[in-house]
Amino acid sequence: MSHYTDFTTADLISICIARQIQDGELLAQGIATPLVAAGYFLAKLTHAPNAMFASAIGNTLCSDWAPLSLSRIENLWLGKAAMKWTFAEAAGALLPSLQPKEFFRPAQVDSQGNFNNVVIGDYQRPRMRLPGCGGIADVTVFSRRVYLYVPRHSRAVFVERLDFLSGLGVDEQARPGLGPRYLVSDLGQFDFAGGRMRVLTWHPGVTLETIQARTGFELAVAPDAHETPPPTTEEIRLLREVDPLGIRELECLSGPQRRRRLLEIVAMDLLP
Amino acid sequence: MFTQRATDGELEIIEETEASLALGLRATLAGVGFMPGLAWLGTDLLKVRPDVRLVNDPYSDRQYVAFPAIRPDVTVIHALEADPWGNARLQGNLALDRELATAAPCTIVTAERIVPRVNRELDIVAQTVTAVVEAPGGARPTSCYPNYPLDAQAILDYIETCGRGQFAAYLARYTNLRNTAPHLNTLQSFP
Repeated sequence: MSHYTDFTTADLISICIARQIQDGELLAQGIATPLVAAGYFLAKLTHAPNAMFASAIGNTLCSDWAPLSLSRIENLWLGKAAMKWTFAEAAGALLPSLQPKEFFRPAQVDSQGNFNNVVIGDYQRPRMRLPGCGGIADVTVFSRRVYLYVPRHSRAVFVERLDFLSGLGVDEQARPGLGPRYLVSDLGQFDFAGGRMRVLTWHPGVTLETIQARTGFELAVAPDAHETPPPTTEEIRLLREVDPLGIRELECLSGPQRRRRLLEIVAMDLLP
Repeated sequence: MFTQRATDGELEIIEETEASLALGLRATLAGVGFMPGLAWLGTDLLKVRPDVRLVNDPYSDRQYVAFPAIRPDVTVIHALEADPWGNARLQGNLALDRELATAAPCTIVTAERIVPRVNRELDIVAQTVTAVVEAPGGARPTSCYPNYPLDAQAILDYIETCGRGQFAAYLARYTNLRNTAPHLNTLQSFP
């Protein structure tokens, strides 16, 4: 298998996500998480042809895939749905009982994998109000398949103390939820074995020192930690097939760069 | 605009999650005061919603969150088609539509088109509906699958305009448009 050197950070994150998928799994797909969708579809096209998706859009189960789109996404989740649920059924029954694997993107994470998607700063007088935690405060209580991804690894995200706890980590005693099993960032891959965030791999060109310097708490390091295996040419080729417009790149950008890219993608997305 | 107003403290926010909305509405439909769930246990949500209490499982020693019944005053549902009595079809694309229509004492159905009779594959039944409005394009600029997709350009326009603190200008632009764009005439349906 030949390796590919000219890849983006977004490519590598989606590929790491794909490699966490096992064949036959039920995979939950949230709103505005194209890095995850690209990873799921890549897995579907490589080693997990029997994976099934549980989509937050339309509350459907779907075993098909389609190239990522901003404005035509319902053509897949509704148009090719294998089974339709309602929101109340999905939140009240499907998620607690079937426990799909899901990748969440936290605004803040602490060393034990607790995370925050509600507010930055004091709750009453926030520095920044976030969109909210969706179903994170629900599923992390009971789910055994919580996975995380962080497109921009920094001390603003990896903090000693959360401003708000809306996603449960690994340090609690007797509850069914196990906390995050895995985390991928733009710098490396991690787990929480032993109750503390631990480096499993560092991405090509990244050092352990860089990862530690950009993390606001002390990281553990797995005894067999190594470099992330780079993408193969086949993974990159398929990734461009599942996301030809590069929508996954949006999650790695911010500010004017992101706005510019978004405008370009919308213009391309509208073409017939 | 939500982010800005919320950060500035101009909005009163009641924290809800997927489970609290789903269980709260189901409590109303079942005619009980709450519905128990595992959601929120151990999180800070309980600290900022002191009105939400815990309940003991009478059959074990477990504790659950007792999500209080949610009783909406008015529900507005946009359907693909509806008949004059309020029977409506959403092609099975159901979020909380059915629960909301049933839980609220007043439910208004807006529809892409009104047809003489919808008597098969109903998603909303007339007995839960108070009023019906024909509103083609009524979901714009968001989508109404399969009739039209999300108008991503209009959403970007909204974000940009609101980002500059000019929501009034955005509204005015779309209000001016409504005489020339047939789908926006429907805005006049709402006084």
